[in-house]
Amino acid sequence: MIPLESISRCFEGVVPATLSTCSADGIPNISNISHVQYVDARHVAVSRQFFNKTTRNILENPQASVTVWDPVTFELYILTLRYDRSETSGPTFEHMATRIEAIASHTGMTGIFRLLAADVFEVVSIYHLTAHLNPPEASDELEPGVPDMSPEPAALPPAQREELWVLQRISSRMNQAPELEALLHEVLNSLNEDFGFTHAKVLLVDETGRRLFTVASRGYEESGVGSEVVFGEGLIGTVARDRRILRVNQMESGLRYGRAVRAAVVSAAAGTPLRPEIPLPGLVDAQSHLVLPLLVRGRLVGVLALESRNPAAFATWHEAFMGIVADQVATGIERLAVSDAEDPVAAGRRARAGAKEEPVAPSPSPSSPRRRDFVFYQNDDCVFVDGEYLIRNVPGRILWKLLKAHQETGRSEFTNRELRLDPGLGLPSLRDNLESRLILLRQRLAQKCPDVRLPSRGRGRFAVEIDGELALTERASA
Amino acid sequence: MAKLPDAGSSVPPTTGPLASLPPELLSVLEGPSVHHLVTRSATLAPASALGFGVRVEPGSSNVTVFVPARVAPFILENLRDNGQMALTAVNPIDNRAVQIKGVWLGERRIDEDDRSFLIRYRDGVTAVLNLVGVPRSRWRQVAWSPTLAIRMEVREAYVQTPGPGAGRPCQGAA
Repeated sequence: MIPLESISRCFEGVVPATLSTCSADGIPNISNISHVQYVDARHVAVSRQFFNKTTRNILENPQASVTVWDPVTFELYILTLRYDRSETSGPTFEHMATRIEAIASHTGMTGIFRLLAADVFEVVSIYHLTAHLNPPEASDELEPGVPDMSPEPAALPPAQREELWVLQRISSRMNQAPELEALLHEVLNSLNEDFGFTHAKVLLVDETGRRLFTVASRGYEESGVGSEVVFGEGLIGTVARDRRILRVNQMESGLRYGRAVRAAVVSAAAGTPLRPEIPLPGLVDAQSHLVLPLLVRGRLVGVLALESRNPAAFATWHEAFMGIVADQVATGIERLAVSDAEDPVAAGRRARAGAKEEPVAPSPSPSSPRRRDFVFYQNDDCVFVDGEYLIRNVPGRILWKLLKAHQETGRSEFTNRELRLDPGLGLPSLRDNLESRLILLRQRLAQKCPDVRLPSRGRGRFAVEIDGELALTERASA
Repeated sequence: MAKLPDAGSSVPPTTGPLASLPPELLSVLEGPSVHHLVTRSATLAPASALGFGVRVEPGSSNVTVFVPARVAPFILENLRDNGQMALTAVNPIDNRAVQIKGVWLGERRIDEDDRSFLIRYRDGVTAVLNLVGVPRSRWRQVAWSPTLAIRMEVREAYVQTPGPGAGRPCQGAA
């Protein structure tokens, strides 16, 4: 029999797969399915979102057949199946549920469009059908605007991809990063240069523990730094909530399926309010996503999200391969998020180096001085600059503390440690992610107010540099 | 699990032909949709095949579905055994889908009218699939000829657009 693993790319085809069954009284039935799940070398699973004729049929007559299309060659594979069992828990169910819930969340269908069961079938035989195809044309040029679906490097066998080399590269680059901002920069650069993943972002868990914020990104017109994702919402939020890798190829196909369900629900229950769709952050025309939880000893520190316009950019093996990368990134973030005060080796090294350290020149001012009006809203710790939203929550409180201290005392050098010791900032006593808050704050300032900068003065220390005049106003609420 | 009937049964139809096809069905069925036909063997094993478009016969509920001649032998073997068939049509852009069920009326060679229809269908479905990311060059590889026309008397029609309404009879098909 053709190995099931070898046709896994057909399980998420652009052309919907079909599942054929037959009732006990001999009436055949055929339905379109969005996804076939590889379970093991002898089994596949099909998602059941609604109890329907297919379900009734397989309970009466276990014989079934699935037809899947190869998205690259357009060859057909017909899998002769025998219904084995329905699972409502366990790894297969959880994996399929995560994928479906992510699409449901993305289309504002959370709770309505969900997995009832994973129907698991034994694969009895696989028939490879090419009779419907002519031999390939001599000239097979793609037309403009048509995504190239010929095999990409991502589809090459692992032996040709030098995974060890790219793993060594990213590991080495991360290892040399002196601080969190540099680490994130190296991770995204390596993903682009060494792995070929041109669109990526890292999100970290914020102080609420229920939300992520984008701390670094690469490949996008807008960096999106500071944008937030609530746990459970969209692909990224679903991964954060479930702490499980999510790979979605043929994203549009999945979303079309989800939107078809949404349209059906709206039409069936006019007036029932559905949540608005969450705009997909990043590429508007992304076709594939690989979203990985960043876990340290089972604790979520963030999410690494990759996307591509190539519908087949991420294969099954990428889940394991990139899982290794995600583990390394998570460990690196955890390592560098620890404060100098808690890291005597780093502190000692810095003290020794400090004896020979040259005075650090202030960063050059990017523009001519001018007056900037900052307003801090006490009710939601939100900071606006010249009437435009800048930042909120912990980074907002930090910024306000720094600006006030600078204005009232003229101080321009600060340490992470004193921020940690300030109860007014509301940093958690353990794993406060202060470094990531400062990165976020620096990047938001660079985008919205380059006249105020927080350049690093070595690990655990930074400066406040201000060009021009600041007006600080504090208000109870907007 | 229910006991299966003995092999070789040709089940008599339990419903009669529809007077006409429900209007909500026609745009998906006759449009540039992807069609799959399913038959079943004497031992109730289902077998599906790609369809190349559907034509509704004027003034009746009979339809003609076109299938690649190279895969027709698999289908015809089942149809000659028991005549039971079903067909699904799905619009790849919005996933609107329908399913019709009925019995085999026979097969025939295609004529000039059919050939014109097949060219229109091929162009339509190629354009639609292109919109969802299938390169035209791939779809052009499909062997559109020789093609066999299979006639079907429609007895049941169902909405199959994904969602809680999937499986309900089409309006006017009850």
